[in-house]
Amino acid sequence: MPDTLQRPLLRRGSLPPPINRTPSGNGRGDDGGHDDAPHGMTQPAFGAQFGMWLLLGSLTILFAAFSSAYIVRVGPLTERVSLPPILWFNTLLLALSSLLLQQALGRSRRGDRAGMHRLLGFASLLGLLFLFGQLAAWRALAAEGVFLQTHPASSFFYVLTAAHGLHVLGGLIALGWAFLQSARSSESTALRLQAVLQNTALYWHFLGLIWIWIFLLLAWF
Amino acid sequence: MAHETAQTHLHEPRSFWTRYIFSQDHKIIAAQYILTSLFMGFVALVLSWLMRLQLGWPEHPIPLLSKLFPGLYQDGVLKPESYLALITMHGTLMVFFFITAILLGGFGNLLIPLQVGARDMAYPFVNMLSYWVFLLSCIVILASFFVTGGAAAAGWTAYPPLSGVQKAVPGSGLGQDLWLIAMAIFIVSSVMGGLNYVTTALNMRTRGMSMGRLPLTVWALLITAILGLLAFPALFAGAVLLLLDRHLGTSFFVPYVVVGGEHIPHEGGNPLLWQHLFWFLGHPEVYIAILPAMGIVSEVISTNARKPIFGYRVMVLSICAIAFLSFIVWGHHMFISGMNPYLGTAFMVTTLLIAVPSAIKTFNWVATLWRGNLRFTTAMLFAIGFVSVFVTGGLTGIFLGNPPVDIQLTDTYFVVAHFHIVMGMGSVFGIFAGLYHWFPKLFGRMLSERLGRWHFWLTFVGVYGIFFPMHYLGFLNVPRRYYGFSGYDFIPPDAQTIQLLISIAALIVGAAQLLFLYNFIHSWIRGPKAPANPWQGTTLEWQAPSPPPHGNWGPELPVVHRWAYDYSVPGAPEDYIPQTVPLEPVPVEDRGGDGVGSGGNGNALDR
Amino acid sequence: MFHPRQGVALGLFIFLFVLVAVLSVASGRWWLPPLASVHGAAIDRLFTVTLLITGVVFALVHGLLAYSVWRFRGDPSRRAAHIREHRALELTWTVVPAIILTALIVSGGQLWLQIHRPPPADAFVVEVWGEQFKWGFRYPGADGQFGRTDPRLITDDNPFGIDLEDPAARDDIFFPAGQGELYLPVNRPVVVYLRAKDVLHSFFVPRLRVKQDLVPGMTTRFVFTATETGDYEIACAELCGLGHYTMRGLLTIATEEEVQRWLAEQLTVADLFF
Repeated sequence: MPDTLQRPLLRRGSLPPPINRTPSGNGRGDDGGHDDAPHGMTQPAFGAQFGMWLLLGSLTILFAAFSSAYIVRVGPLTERVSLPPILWFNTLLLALSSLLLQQALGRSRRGDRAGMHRLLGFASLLGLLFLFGQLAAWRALAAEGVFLQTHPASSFFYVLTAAHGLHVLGGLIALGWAFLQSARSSESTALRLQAVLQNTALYWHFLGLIWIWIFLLLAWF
Repeated sequence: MAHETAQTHLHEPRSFWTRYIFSQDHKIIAAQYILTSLFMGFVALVLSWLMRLQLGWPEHPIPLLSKLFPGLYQDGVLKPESYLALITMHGTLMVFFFITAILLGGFGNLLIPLQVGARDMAYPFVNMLSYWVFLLSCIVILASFFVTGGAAAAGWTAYPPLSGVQKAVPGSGLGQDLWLIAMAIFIVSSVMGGLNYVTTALNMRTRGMSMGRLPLTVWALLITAILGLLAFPALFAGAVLLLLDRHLGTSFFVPYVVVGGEHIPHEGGNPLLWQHLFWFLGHPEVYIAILPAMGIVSEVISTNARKPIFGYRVMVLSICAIAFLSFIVWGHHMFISGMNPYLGTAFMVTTLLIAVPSAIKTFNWVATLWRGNLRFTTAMLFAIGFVSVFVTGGLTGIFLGNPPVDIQLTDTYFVVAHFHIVMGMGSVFGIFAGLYHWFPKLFGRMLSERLGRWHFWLTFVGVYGIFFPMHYLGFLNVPRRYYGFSGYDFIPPDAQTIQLLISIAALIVGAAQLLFLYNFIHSWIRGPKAPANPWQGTTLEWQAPSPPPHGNWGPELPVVHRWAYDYSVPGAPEDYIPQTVPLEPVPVEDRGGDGVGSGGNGNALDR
Repeated sequence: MFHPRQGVALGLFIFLFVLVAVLSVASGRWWLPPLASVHGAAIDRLFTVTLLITGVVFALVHGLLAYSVWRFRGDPSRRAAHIREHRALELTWTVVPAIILTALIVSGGQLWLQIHRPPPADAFVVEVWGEQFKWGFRYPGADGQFGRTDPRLITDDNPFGIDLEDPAARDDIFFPAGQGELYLPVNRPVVVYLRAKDVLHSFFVPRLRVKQDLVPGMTTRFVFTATETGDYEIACAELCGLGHYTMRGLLTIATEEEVQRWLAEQLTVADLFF
């Protein structure tokens, strides 16, 4: 029997317990080697983050599907969208926002709640500005007479940016919630806030990477 | 202890609404999924009767049906456009809203937490949301029957341009839009469910429940959930693009076409692109339907053979191999689609390779029966029925996976026979095996075994009566998705006789399902109370009361000491040892096979 | 709980099912339509080989299953054997199917690529057009070249959207959907180019072992050599809408001379439009 099947692949962790329970002793015999494992319900962070990673896996496939459709459909054609220069600026906004969010996370770990609150505010603001920047890019294209149905490359431009933008919007809602919470967070909710923040940061960085991928695809493929 | 028990009940939701309707308890959600998907399956079954009536007795007027289904019938005769709506909706409802929903939503919710020894899913709120979003998708897809033009009529594969151009077919109006929207909603729901199943199976295993001790049901559901997470988003993307083609004038899939003399000014769209996106989901979807059934069947066979599942490790590896390969075989649905023939060769290799792990699993099931002490419970009968239909339907896949032979057989009744037997009946037999096996655990009452046996025999014999003769129609090259067959000289008169016999068998099998429905409802209300472990199983769920209370386990989580299949261990007092029983040194002699220890109590041998 | 009689019944039923299944298929009463093409012979051979192999496996596995449920039906006084795995056996049923499938992959793959070889230069060329729910045909005429087409040019008079400016179009001979018959020579490779105006269709001639989808926006192709003269039916094998089941067409395989004589009698594009 290879060891890989014997040992748990991953640490166990979970969400808050639906039931208050006292930790149970190791009274039911010994199966060797699992003493370190928690045997009840423990802290949320790991479990929630695991789910976030899975969600990111799923979203990767979503964008991979759009991208491969782009490659198949637009690849053989010569027409491309001339990308509005504001996209460079937007990319910078999103990257900066990711950076600030990471900083905020660090502050929250150190217990600096005021600093976290401030940084969260900036990160959310930059996220919002990114969305407005994307809208400005749409308007710039529309002003040139390039619309959704103009040609395949433009169709994909709007679809990819819209799909990405909607996901950014979702992230913004989470960030906004965290921002409001961080203003009046007490010790009891701090842990929950940190878990949400951690997941949102992960998601936010992921969206940053997806944006860079979309940008590369649109600019150079 | 009394103090802790009081605490156990502290957090149990008390109002009817939070307890049974907006419940976050995985068992209630499992029941909600099972009831909803059984209803959807029943609707799909009725649709198949309507099709079979037309195919068995072509254009024979039945005035009653005009009254029952005024939208579908005219003067008692099924309208041709209704027939297309029926095939589309029958397929969609069965594949997604019945089979996928009941296996992942129903059995996944019920079994994963119970069998890994968790109190609930990792994210109970997301779990609840997943069900309600699923229910919404059910409502949307059912609503499509009642809109102008009727339900979608482009087949469950929704190939554009038929599904992309409103003029192409009557169902390509609002019905097709609702179909696409319902699918998108369904995908959101299944992603939410999938996150839960994977996280719970991996992270919420109780103490001692190593991966090598997981029952095969959990393995199968885990791998299936991963498949779902990675496959469904492709169709979501496809649905979005197709909706844009339909309404906003883009040309992702629809090229410049002239439908009925009217110019539809798209530009250069690629219909094959949709087929690739659809089947990138569609083929893993086939395994999403069959893998959990395989897990259920492994569990039921082992329990009722009173014998460890044969080759546990290889079974796990085969599940993983099938799951991996299922992502790179989608092109075998497209051999004659105009796809590059060299690409076809690659897909052919992967497709036929997938038969190897499938064969391993089949032989392992038979080997589990070998020298067993078989108990023919209804669940066991259905599990054996599964092995039979899986062999029969799997073998015909070897014809269709081989592109030269596929040329002749694809889009004929041979394909209909193939996928109905292997994927349709395979999943359905797995579902029934699971329902008869775990109904006592979920509802706390026993199903009638006597009715169950009637149900099994009528279904098993009847199903072969329906689908085996379809191979003959396939040999005769009778094309599928035809409303009628008059006027074709290459179809001999025998074909109509076969169609008639198939229709009769289909109506009998349909009636047998009513028997099940009666059994289900009657036993739910009046069935005898179920003991905690009616089948003398080893896995954790049988250590909880039937039905398990909120939180499943009382004050202490179970601790696992051995693998899931300690049946008929030589020297043990009973012919099963639950996973929670600590290891004792067991006599080593009289072990069958070459007795290589595997699973949990391998270390018992070392002592 | 053991219900041993169920085991007997199930074993017996599975055995009978295998018997009926094998005999009914072997009787050959329901078989592929009579063969009339060169590559079709190879397809039929592969089909028969696959049928034999799968038939043997089908009978073998079901036989084992029937025997097991009959022989090992339960009894409270007995204990099952505790067998967990058996390396040699498991290896056997991994390797043997793998070898058989590899053989099928190799023969199937070769045949597939052979069927999809580029058409020989002297092949007879024809274009088949699918539209809801009829078949149209076009011959390239004496120059062997089809005139350019564009779906934007499609009108009632010019149903394929032939570009009349293109000199290659002048001698094309076309039959609007539902108004003609496909005439093809026997014993000569024929390359059929397939085009669709509206939705997907599939050009299916059961007796010739030909089936290929027609995709709007692209041209697909199938090459075959018919071996018998006579009348054949074309059916549509890809769901194309309301009248899918009525999309029947006719194909006549005749001798080379007959086909050429018939072609010479037909009106060309130049005759119709200029």
